[in-house]
Amino acid sequence: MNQVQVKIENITKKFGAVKAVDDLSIDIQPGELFTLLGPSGCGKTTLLRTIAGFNYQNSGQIFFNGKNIDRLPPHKRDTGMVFQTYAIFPFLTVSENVAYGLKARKIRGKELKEKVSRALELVRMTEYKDRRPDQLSGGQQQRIAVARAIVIEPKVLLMDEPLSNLDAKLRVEMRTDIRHLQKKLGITMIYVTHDQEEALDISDRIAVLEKGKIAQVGTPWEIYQRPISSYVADFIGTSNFSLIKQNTISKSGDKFKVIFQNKSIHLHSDLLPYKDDVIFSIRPEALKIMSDDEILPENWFSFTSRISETTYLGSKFVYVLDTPMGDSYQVTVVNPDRDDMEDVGKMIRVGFSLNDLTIFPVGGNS
Amino acid sequence: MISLPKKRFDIWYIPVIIVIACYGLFLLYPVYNVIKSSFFNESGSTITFNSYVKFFTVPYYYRALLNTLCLGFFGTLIILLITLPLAYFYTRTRIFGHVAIGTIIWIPYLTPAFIGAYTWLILFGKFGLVTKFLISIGFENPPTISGLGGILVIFVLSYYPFGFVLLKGAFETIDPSLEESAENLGSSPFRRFWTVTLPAATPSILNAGLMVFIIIIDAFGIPAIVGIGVPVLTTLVYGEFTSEIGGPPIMAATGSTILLSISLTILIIQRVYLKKRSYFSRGVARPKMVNPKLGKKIILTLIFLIVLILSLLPIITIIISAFTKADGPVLRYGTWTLENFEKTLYSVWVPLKTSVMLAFGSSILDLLLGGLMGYVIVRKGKLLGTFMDAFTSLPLGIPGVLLGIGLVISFSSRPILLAGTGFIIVIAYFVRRLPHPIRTVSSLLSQINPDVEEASVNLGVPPIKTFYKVTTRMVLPGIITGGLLAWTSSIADLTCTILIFSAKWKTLTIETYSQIRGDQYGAASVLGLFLMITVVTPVFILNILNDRKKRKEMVEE
Ligand SMILES: Nc1ncnc2c1ncn2[C@@H]1O[C@H](COP(=O)(O)OP(=O)(O)O)[C@@H](O)[C@H]1O
Ligand SMILES: [Mg+2]
Repeated sequence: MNQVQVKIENITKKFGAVKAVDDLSIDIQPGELFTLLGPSGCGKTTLLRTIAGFNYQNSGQIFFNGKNIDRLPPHKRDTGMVFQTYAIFPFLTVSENVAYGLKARKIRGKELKEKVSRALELVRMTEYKDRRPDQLSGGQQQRIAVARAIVIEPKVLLMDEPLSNLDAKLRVEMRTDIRHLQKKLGITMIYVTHDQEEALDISDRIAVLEKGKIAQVGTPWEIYQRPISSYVADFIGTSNFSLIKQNTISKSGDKFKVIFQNKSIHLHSDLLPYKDDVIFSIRPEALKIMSDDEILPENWFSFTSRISETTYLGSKFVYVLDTPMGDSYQVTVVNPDRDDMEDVGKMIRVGFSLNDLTIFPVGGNS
Repeated sequence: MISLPKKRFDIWYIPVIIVIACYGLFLLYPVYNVIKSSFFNESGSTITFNSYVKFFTVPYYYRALLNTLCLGFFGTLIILLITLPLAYFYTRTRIFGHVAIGTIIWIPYLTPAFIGAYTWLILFGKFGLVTKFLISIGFENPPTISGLGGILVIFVLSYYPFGFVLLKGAFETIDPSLEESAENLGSSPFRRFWTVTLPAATPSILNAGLMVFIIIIDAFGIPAIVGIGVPVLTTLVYGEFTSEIGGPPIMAATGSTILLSISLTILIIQRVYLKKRSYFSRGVARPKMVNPKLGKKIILTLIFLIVLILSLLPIITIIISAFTKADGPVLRYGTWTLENFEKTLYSVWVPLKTSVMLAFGSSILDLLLGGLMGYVIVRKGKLLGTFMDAFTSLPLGIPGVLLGIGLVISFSSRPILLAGTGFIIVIAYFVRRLPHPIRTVSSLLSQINPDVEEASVNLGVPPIKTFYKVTTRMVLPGIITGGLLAWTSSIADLTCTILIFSAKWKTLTIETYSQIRGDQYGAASVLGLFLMITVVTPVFILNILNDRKKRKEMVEE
């Protein structure tokens, strides 16, 4: 299989004064499912369209397998794009839609037929092959768009929020399908979404974007468990933050002593490489409710806080705590028992493993 | 949408340049010549305002202006007052035969206005059927359609469908949630109309009014046929121009320049207004239709029936008259005959062929360049789009008589000697009707997501090929509708044609008009019938094709 490596080097794309993509570089490995994740307006679509050739970058270069493609017009880049709106040709039937790109590649006759029916099989749309697009549901149109893009066996698949117009249940189904399909075909894929759960579920690696720049690149696990800035931590799931002032950190032996929630906490020096104010971040599900007499395990830390709010969500129970440092923390109790639920105003003890503590400098990574 | 590395010469500039060149040479240059000659003296050597002084002091001239303004104002007012309730009820209540009524009501608008005027003359004129009937039952002075009042009535009868269609569109596109929320707040239907619907529709109503006004002041056929003794600007200009052969047509130029200043003012007001339409939802949601109580439903249906009969009367009249024995302007009803056809048929074919050729040529040009311009306006960037949109709508504000005069005085001598050729007629039709396909295509295209075209490029089809494989395909209905509009209005054109035709290039409208003026009602009816058939046939063919397609799709499902 001829898999393609995509190298994006210092790409900048401006619209007037707005830098939609700002000096951005990424290396995407052959056969990788790579996700661009970020809030609306952060430049995901612009970057994708620049790769497809619909925008032309102000500076920087793009390489497919080491070959510069900047001079190639969009119709010669051999990318397969799935648009957010699906962009199905309304005047063609389902199979004519799928055949469109093949015909442009001068594929005719039996070969054409076979490829079309294979692609329709892959997206499980064979029985609809003679339908008109306006008789199809959103999910079906989305499958057609995918089939139309994969059938040409492009160098790279580009998907721009392909699931955002579907309902929640279908969205989960489809993203599993897309991942299976991508792994089966082995085509390098760049996937755009603003949905962090989708990104974590589907990707090999994720780039979290912030205002046209990369905030962090990593595997889903790294992005979720080891965010390198409060922006990433906040964008990926909810998180609890505490600002730690520089003057509350002091050196003691080969460790640092930090005053956290009015108690001393001793951290290994490589956990705390910064010389400035830092932010402590702990995921709500990493915090564990403990009884007062429970013995703290090795490498754990606990503190006591007042419950300021409670929310019952069926599968989980959420406390909002007023911590001793005056921060507002969320704690989730998964699969709660009746006895687990405490009332507002009560004091409870929460603890967490120091492995679940993430530390980053104020104002992001610089 | 797609920008390439090094900007080469964009191929899309070619049609843009062609259109700008055509407008420059065949629209702006003639208009400039007319305006210029209105400011020069007889010998063309010094600039004067004499002609304007003369225009505003001699009653013969300024009366025409007053008549035009008066007809325009009251005609528009009456049409709005009639069509406002019609359009409102049509869009909000179910009546019997809803669809049929909506279709048939178009007929007078498809009918060339001067044919309509002619049929009303047949019915209500000095020898008119109704007039004679009224005299026979004892009326001494039955109402006739002469004078200002008469023209006003004919204008209203000829152009109310236009007002109706525009207002129908206005009421259909008001965001239904506006009305629904008013309903939720407990507003009565009557109150809701006055406090919500009407204010929301006001910009569109004003817009419709302005368009009707322009059509009325621009019309030549109706005042020329029913308005003997009531000069308006168009007939005045025509009269001055045809009698001033020899010297420069100064008064004709002056009159048409004044007409131009009125219609351009209206066009500018209209464009400013169009910008501010904000109460409208984008298409999808339609207002709720209520099913009224039977009594109310019957009354409403009857009202629409009367309107329908008025719409159909001209076509019925002209069919009957074509088969009725005629002595000059006197038609002997009840005496069925084919005599008119026998006498006239030999003189039908040549003008029919001429009309079809000229209108066909110009409509093809219109739909080709109109389609390309529609694309440029929507897809080729805001700056170029806005400019071309405004620039290409210029003909809407330029009166036909003025363009006719301008073309004649601009191209009667070398180096470009075009006067008297068929080419100049094609050009005039082409330039005048180009805004139609541009409008229909651009409004359709602006609702189509550019993603679809980009998807085609992404799949490996180059932009130009994508344009004709995908874009053209998707805007085809707009191209056809726009081309058809260009066709019907070119075939039916009298206002401009009458100034630029020559003996070799006599159109059906010219032939019909001269038979009417020559009091040959038998021949006029036959010619008029053929004229209507040529106008309406493509519309019907299209409807039939559409129906077939719909039925075929239903079978497929
Ligand atoms: N064609 C354009 N013209 C001007 N500004 C644009 C254009 N496309 C995108 N932008 C701007 O660039 C930024 C990034 O947009 P986009 O790439 O669409 O974001 P995302 O896909 O992440 O929501 C936004 O501020 C947007 O307003
Ligand atoms: Mg986007």
